Amino acid sequence: MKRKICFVLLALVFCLSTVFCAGAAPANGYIVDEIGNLTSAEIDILNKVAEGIANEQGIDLFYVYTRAESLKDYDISSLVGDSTDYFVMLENEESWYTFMSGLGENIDAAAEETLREVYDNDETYVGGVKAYMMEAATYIPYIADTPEGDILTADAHVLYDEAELLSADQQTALIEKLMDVSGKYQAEIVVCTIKSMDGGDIDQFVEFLYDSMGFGYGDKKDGVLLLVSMEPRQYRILSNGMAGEAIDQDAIAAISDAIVSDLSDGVYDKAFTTFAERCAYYLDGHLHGFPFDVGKTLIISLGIGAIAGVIVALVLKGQLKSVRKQEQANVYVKADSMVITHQDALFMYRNVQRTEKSSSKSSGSGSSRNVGGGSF
Amino acid sequence: VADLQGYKCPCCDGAIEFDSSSQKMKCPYCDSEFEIEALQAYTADLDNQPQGDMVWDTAAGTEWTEGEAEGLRVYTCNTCGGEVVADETTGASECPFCGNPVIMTGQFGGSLRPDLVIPFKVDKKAAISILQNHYKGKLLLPRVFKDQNHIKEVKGLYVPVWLFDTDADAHVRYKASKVRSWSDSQYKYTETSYYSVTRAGGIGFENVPVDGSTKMDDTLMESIEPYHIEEAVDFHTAYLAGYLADKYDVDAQASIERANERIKKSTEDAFASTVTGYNTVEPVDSNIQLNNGRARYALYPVWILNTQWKGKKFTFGINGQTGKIAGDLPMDKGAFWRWLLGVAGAVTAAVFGISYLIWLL
Repeated sequence: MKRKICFVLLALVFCLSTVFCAGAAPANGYIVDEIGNLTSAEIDILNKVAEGIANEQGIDLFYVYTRAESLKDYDISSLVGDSTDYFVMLENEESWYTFMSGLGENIDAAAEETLREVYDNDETYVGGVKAYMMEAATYIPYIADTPEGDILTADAHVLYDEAELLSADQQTALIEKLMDVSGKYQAEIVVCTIKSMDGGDIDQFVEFLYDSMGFGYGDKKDGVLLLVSMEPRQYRILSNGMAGEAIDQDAIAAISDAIVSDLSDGVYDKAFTTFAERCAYYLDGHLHGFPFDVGKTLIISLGIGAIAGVIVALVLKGQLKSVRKQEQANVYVKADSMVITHQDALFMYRNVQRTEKSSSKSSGSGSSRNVGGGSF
Repeated sequence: VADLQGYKCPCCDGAIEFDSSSQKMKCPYCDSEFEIEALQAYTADLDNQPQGDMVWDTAAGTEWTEGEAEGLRVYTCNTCGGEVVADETTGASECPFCGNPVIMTGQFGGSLRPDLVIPFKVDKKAAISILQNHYKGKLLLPRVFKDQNHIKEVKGLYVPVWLFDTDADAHVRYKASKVRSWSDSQYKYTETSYYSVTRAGGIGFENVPVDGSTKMDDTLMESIEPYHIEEAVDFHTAYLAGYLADKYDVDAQASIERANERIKKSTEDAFASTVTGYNTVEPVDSNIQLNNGRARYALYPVWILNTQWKGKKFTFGINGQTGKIAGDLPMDKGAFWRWLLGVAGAVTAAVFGISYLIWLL
């Protein structure tokens, strides 16, 4: 449930940040940084995250890093304004303190410890603040419409069907399949569908989603995410960590080829099942070696053999021909007779060709991430 | 701008126009853009190009002195019309070109006296041995060819050759390009810059040979080049003793075209080799003027070997000075396909086997 809510929020937050919709944000924003730990761009992003949560769940989440020594005496009135439902995390170099009101009361002492934990666990300030907000939001009742049967169980964290493309039976079967593959290869295989990108960039969103949702197992976050958007009709496959090494750009292209026709035809359960099976194939091949492909190897061998045969036969045939016209008279050039009396080079024009780079990239930790996909 | 209207695009030769928005000359056909200064310099360069001119002094050969050619006889082949010259002690019975009988038609006369002759250094026995060696290592040569074909005739023949000396003044223009690549986070960029490169200068050629006989295959003669002209001696009829000599029937003037082709190509290539630092270089136009051109008349020694196999004639030419041989051989089509399929099968099996072993590892 917690992740389900996060997914909905993230989609909303991402779209908000993309289209720059203005929410009913406090005059001074949700973020106050008196020390300068955050850049203005980072503060903008965090304000949009807080804005999305406020719009979706009706609570204002604040973060303040102050120079003030006494945190409990900190005047939050100018910060929270007229808000009656808020939660403020206040921090200085020595300690931290919280203020809460209304819906913010749902975050009890134990929850506060959890918030501090997720905040401290992130290496960056911006990541820590975002993690705190996302965690805090999970303690607030979710007020958005939730169609009956759409909310998945806590165990079913491998499927997020916001676009409602699958029936309940299909969801159950797919979850079983995804969890089976995820468990067998220790790489989280996830399928997410959304109704609309609301003008957002799907390439940015798929990475934002993967990181923000915390998909993937282990330190390297080994996993694969298939994101399907119905408006526009696009999909992206992201592989990360060990799964990124197993499922490279070529593999993503092959998986795309395998599922795109089913996506186009609206046979979503088959497309998602194929996705899971193809992921299992590449992960198994990466971990245990691919099975020997007799047909493919034979075709390649025949191709190489045919080329070698033709080359050898033509070389042997060429041995029989020795009567050839001489095109040049190089052997009749007088020794040292060549003299250059004039030479110049005049620049005329230039052409610049631009080709899009592959979206394959590596993270700083040495694990790899690949993103690919298309329209359907 | 008016004085720029006659300019042509260096890329496509289309009429180029001034583009007011970019303040550059722009081709409406290929959309290439040029700086005005660059286009003016380019056009001036074109206008200053000298026109190609190849002038030759073709006064080759000399007149025979009185009585010098008295001992020479002309033999004519009634089948192919070939005429050969032999001294009275050598005689001739078969045409070296077609192998049919020849008849003596009279005393030699009329043609010019050669300036030079390269004497034979390879004898008849060595020539036959060279032909036998020519068969070796030819895996597609029908086995029976070596056994069944017989050397019908081996004739030492002096072939008339026009030798052209000249100094070439060249003005060659090349289209050259440099490629530079870089990338940012999203795109890879490839920039190709085009240059008009000019080279001018001189280069000398000497003794460029052109076959002066229509009966002798020009390509066969070129295939057994080169001859070492430094071993040539002034002509004397004594060198013809024991050999035949072909009479020229293509004069020096008619042979110039072939010499020009080879000289032009070599000149272009020689100057192109000085255009370095570019990724591509291709000649756009070249103007070559020939100075001090002169032609000489020489006789080159060639062993002509005619063989027959399955009713088909095969002719081989051997450079009578160096022993270099040329002559196309027949191909065993069955052997061709056996080798093609055999190698293809073996390589296929090897690649498949190695792939399987790699997979096992």
